Amino acid sequence: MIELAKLQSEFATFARQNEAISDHPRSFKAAQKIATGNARMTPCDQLEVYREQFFLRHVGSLREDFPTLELLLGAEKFEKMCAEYLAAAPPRSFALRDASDRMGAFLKAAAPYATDPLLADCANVEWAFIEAFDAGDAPPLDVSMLASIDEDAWDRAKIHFHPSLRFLDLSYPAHEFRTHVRNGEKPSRPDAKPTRIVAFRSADDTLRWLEVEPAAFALLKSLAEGKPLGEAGESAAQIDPEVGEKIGAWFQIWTQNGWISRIEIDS
Amino acid sequence: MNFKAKHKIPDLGVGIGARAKHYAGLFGDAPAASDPKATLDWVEVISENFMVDGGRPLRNLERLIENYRVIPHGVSMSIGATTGLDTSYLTRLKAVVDRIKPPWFSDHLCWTGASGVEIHDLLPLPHTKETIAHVSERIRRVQDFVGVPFAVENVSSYLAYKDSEMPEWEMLAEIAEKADCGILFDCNNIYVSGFNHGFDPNDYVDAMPQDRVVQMHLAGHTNKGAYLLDTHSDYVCDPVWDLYRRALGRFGGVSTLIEWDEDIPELDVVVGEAVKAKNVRAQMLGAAKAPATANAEAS
Ligand SMILES: [Fe+2]
Repeated sequence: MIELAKLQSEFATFARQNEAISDHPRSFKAAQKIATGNARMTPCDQLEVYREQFFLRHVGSLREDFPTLELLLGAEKFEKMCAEYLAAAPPRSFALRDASDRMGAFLKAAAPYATDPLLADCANVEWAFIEAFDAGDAPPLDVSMLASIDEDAWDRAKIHFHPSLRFLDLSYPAHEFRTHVRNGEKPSRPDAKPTRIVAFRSADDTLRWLEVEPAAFALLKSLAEGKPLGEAGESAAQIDPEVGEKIGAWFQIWTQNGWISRIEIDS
Repeated sequence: MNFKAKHKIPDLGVGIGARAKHYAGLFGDAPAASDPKATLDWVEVISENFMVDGGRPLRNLERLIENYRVIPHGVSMSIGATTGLDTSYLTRLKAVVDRIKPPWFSDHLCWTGASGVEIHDLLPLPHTKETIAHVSERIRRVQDFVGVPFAVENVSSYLAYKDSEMPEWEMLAEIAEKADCGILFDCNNIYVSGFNHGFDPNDYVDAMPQDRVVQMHLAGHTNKGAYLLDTHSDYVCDPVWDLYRRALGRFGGVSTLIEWDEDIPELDVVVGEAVKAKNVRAQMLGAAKAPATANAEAS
């Protein structure tokens, strides 16, 4: 009799291997040890049902999450890539959705995909929207509190953003490509164009994005990391010396889009 | 006092699994000939779909709660796993249960992963004394933590273990007894596993402790030739309706739910299956016996 923990560990290993159970000597042996088989199915066939389901379920979920990648790679290469991804980044969370969480990092690092940065860009854009979809809620900024902030206190202000905000620094306009794909079109590959976007969920739960200029992007990221406005503004000014003049208009756009939920003044 | 009486478990009547594709129809935002609000007695939701921080899923759950009696049903608890119970999972699950305030919640008699890797499948357990001791102790802990009666569901399986020492029904009944929990009796899973492993599904029905069966599932499956696959992608087949009749005869009126998860048809089709279940119930239990509401039972 096999101890339950050992049985589960073996079962789980073989149920997600890339080769068929009967093609691999170790899984073949394990199947004989674990399963009875029956008149219609061998022990390998029985374990094979679970292996097959593992791939159908996970590739199906990845296909739903990353239609841009399937379009770029083609169905066959996409499935092969998924099998490689699942081996490199096995699902760790109870949520099937989270099985997609390392796709961007995988495509950025793994051959042959790393040679095409559009793939990782697409994966990162898709994943950003998946996260934005059910990220936490936060009330919009109470704009009446702005009047109470002293002029000289702004440097110490810490900005709390809506939890759905995701900052994407892209080599390609992968977000526009995604929109076309999600609309059921078959767009051709976009040209490279450095693009910075903020993906977010608006108050009506719609997923949206906005392109932002490099200095605004740097400022947003520093603020999101918890830096006070003065310090964040200084580093953004190294990208664009006109940050001081532009920041008022930026704040207006950020508030209009519900990005800012709270401003805290450090005493 | 028996389990259902002790916990005032109501017979909610017949419902369907609420799926995103049908929300508009279920909320009355899109026309549905079947008038789901008037026809369905309750709906079941997949707990994990609402174990999120915010956004539309939680808004949809609120609307479901406003319109229907809702019961949470999980797929990822992994009650049979040998790794420790996932406390962050249980904390999120409890938040969903607290939001819904159901008379019970459920998940499957299975494991879903090992060594930190999730398989996201309802994997079968060997039918052993070791499994009984292991699972019943974990169910007790889960039930204590969540604070609401738990019902454990039999799964479909495609593999029989050499190590099994008893039939599945014996193991399930003993786990429910030892854990002092309810049973979610899935008629289709019993039919599927009966075909796959060569047992008579009627024996399964006959071996269940009636007072612990708090809910039943009905669903369709796919015939793959050498085995049946539990796909929830079709109408409930005739032999499963027969099993349901037998189960009603033995258990009496038990909250019944239609599951349809793949190749999901129009809402009216799924509601049609619920109407069929209502008719079968009426035949078996007597038309006069309308399902009691949860509130009436609890008062
Ligand atoms: Fe079920």
